[in-house]
Amino acid sequence: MPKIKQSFEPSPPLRAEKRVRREGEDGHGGATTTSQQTLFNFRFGPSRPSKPNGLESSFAQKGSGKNGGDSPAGGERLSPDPPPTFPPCRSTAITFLPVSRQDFVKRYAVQGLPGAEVYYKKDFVRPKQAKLWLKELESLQEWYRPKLKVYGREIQQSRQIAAFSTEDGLQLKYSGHPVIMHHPFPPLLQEISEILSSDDCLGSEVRFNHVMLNRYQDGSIYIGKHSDNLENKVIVTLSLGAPRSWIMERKRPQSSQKSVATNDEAPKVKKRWTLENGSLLVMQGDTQRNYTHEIPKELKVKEPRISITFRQLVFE
Amino acid sequence: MLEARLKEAVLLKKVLDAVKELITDANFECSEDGIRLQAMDNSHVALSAIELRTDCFDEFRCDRPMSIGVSLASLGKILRGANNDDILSIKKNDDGDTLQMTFESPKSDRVGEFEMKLMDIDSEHLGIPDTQYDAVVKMSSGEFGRICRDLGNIGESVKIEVTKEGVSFAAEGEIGQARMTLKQGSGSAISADVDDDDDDDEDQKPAKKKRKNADGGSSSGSGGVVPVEIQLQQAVGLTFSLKYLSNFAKAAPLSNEVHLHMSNEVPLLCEFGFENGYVRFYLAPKLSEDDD
Repeated sequence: MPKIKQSFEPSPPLRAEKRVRREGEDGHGGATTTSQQTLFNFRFGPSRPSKPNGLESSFAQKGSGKNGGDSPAGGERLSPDPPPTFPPCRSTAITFLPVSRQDFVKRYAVQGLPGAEVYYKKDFVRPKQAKLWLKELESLQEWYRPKLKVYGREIQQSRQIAAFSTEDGLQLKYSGHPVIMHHPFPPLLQEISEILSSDDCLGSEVRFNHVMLNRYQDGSIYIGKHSDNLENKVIVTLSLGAPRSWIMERKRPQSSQKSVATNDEAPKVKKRWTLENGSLLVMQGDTQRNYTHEIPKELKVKEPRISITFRQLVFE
Repeated sequence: MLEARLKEAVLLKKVLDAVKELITDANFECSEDGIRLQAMDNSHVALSAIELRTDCFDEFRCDRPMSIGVSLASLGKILRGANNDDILSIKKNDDGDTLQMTFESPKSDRVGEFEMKLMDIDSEHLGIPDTQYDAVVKMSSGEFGRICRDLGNIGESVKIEVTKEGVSFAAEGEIGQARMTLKQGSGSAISADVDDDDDDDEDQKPAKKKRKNADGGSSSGSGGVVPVEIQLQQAVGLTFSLKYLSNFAKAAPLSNEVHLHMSNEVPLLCEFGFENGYVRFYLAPKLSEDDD
């Protein structure tokens, strides 16, 4: 029975995934799943001068993995040193819009969180692909552990981070410290950003100019209850690697903030689920105003997780 | 300054029809060698490349390379004002932001003058990796269009398999499955019937007529057949989206033949060549999950 699955695979047109039965062929006899690739996977695209930061070489390796290696004639098909390619950067004049694409909003809305707009798509990218991305991102040069000042003492944060913006001059403070911001996006993050902003996923009007990577080495690394800055219209988190728990909890209504969403005696709202390898989480609207989120310690988790958060940094 | 004169507007119309479903705006890159265009579709799955060498034109003058940003929808609207056999002149000044187009009827004194606003399109030249293909299939472009249409009724994807004996196109969908096989050397009539109604009766009649044609026709020239020719280094099997292939087939009026260049796990090159130019499409394959 052919199964038609609607999916936001990283290779639009994304509804293309379906099972193709091959009969008496390759000894499989069974079913295989195909997914539509993009030309970027095959080194089509704008040519850019290579930079000595090692990013592009890691991208090139990824590309050659598809064509080279096990298939005998594979390696020779491409010219010896083709220029690295990656999706074109969009123009700098970005207007920031929230996710409104009905197909997405209806399908992936997380229920039971009044006063928040949260969407969760468990299978944004195949687990295998997510692991490959994790590996590629781990090799970035830009990882560092920020030093934070807590009660006047300087301590080093347990999570490694790396931050990128699409253009120069964007700044971000993080617990009072300016974040070291690189630009432009490395090719892989640019590629993922393009996928998110495609009409088959969040919609082409939803664009990002900032991405932050957080690395959770194992279950001992966590992030406490907090809310993100209110300036963020849309925060999109892509989780790679170890599945980790995610807790969202409604803030206690403050006297200054008696809104419709948070009545005086609002019951406690707390929701916990797992952010799977390759899953996508979207928070927008009043989510940050009304809810905190956290990733608790889970000592039984031994594998690393990288979260990629795409944001819209707005300065007004 | 760019000045170019096409003997028949129909060439530009056909070229535009070939790509308008895939690209909305693009830069026409003009140089002393002719006019080129390259663009990917929005989802980066297909790349269209057009080349019109200077010999396409009766007259061609381009003093220095320039890039003309065009909305293909606008160009289509303007070209609707041209008859197929009109002489088409295009002109752009170095500093202008419009393109002048003139349609002159060869028989009467009818002259149409259009001016199209241009766009500033920020695009980069797209790199296309040099590829040696394992299989090249030459076949009738009309037959190709028909296969895409017929299989498109069955499923979303087509698996194209090329062996020494022939090429097969297989699709599967909710209603069942289908396979079309063309043997090496077998001829298909060249006339395209891509735009026929979906009515079965109507489909069969032209097909029969063509087969008669094919029996008596010569192997080349108009009214003849295009035999299926296969050049093969090694057998290939690739899966593609039929939606895209059907769009490519809209280029069939440009050429009796289509050339499909394929290697396993590499984008397809689908080429419609004509005198002094071509329209090429590159299409990323669908890969099975087992491959990675």
